[in-house]
Amino acid sequence: MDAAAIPIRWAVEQDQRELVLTELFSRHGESLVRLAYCLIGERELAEEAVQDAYLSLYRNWRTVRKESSSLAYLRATVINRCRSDQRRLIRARTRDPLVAMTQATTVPSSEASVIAQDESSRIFAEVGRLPQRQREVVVCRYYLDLSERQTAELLGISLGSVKRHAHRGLAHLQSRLGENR
Amino acid sequence: MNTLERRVTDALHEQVDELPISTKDLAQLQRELHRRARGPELRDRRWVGSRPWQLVVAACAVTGVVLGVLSLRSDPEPPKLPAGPGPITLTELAGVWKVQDPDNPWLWIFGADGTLTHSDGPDVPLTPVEGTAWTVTPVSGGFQTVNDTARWRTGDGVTGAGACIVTWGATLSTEGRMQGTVKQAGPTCQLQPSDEVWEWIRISPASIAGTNLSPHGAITNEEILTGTTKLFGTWLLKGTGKVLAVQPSATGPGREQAQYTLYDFGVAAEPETGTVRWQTDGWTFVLTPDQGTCSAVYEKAAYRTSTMVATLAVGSCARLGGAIDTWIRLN
Repeated sequence: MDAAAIPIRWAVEQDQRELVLTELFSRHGESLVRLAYCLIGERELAEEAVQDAYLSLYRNWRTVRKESSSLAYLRATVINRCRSDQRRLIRARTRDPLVAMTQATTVPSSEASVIAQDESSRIFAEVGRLPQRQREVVVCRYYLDLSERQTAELLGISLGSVKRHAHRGLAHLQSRLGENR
Repeated sequence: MNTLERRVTDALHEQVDELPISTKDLAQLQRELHRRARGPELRDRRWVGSRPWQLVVAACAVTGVVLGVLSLRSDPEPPKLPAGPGPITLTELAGVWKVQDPDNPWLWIFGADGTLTHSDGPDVPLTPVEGTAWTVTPVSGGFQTVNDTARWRTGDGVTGAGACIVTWGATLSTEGRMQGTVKQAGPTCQLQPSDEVWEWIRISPASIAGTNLSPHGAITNEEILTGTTKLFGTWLLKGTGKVLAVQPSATGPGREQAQYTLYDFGVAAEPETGTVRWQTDGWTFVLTPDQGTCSAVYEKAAYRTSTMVATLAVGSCARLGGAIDTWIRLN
């Protein structure tokens, strides 16, 4: 192999990857930030999650190439990242009682909490309080408007699980919204 | 869709779609994304005016119309992505790899015989840390690391021991970078499967990524070294695959004498060991190998921001690099 050619070839590949990255960010960046915000309720964390998803795609070029859809990969990675962030937030709140008390009254976020107590903000807040998998299913079904089968594929769970989590999530919301009326 | 489902749908869209995300916000996010994608060693490079950015901007302009059309499609086909490197072998892994994180001092040393040791100090390969001797086996799409007697301690002080098998999905680039994620791990392993992407740069044998490694860490003013203490650690001779590990001597006083190991995987069969002695003038230091009498004499070494520039004395019998050597601190 001609050693002198390696950096040139790499530069070409890197340029190509950056071009593709730019294209994909232009297409899906904003919608993915909104998806992440819907899941985690924190603007800053949402933006980080989306950046990490694109970086994951950038660094796993070969793997992603085999995926049927880059959007599906990005969505799945954003959801995974939000799941990790949620766990980290919960752990942090558990370790620090002061934080726990503060956060307990502001879930899913301080941004959401300052919104007036109209119905949509109450529903949004209650979705943020759902157990992780129920929240993901509800967001996929009712924010992304995915079918049950598409939701199952995106989350990597069975169709039955999607039905079960959606049912429980909606039941939970019905109960909570009824109590708050 | 029943009434509740409709209420939830409307509420989520109302709350989330009203989140203000401006074009400026997205542009900032995209700039940050590219900066992170290019890696920490290029973070100081200006994007505006650089060739890759110009290409990106130009391409955006040219493909704007195409994207507009594509955006109307509900599920566009993913863009074609470039092909990556081939499968990993022990030969490709053999050498010293630095975790690509400015704040992470760990080095991974893969042996051609399938061994793996880790260290965050200058103790490899002299005295591998207990419990860090692993074996490596290539597997489809990556490699597997096994430790029969792993001992570990977390930041919370929790310790554990037991056999640990970790399966890594990994890819190599021709320029000497490796990326991997933990795919599977036994319950006794400290590492557990996650989406976290690890990245390493091959330091020795020399690689393109390794020779382009830049100094990291806090910016410090230049100081002239007057004792061995500042030398303690692991150093890479810039532009080569030579690694110099300096640690306190077991017998001599720390300030005037230290022990060194110099290795260059793929070039030198065995590491060179010896002593570093500081001369009484306070500036000159001598590296004398355990085997032989030909020493390398440096008349001055200046340290600044994780980089040491050492000037070879006229008449020095041996030399590690050239007349003036630049060493980058690895840990």
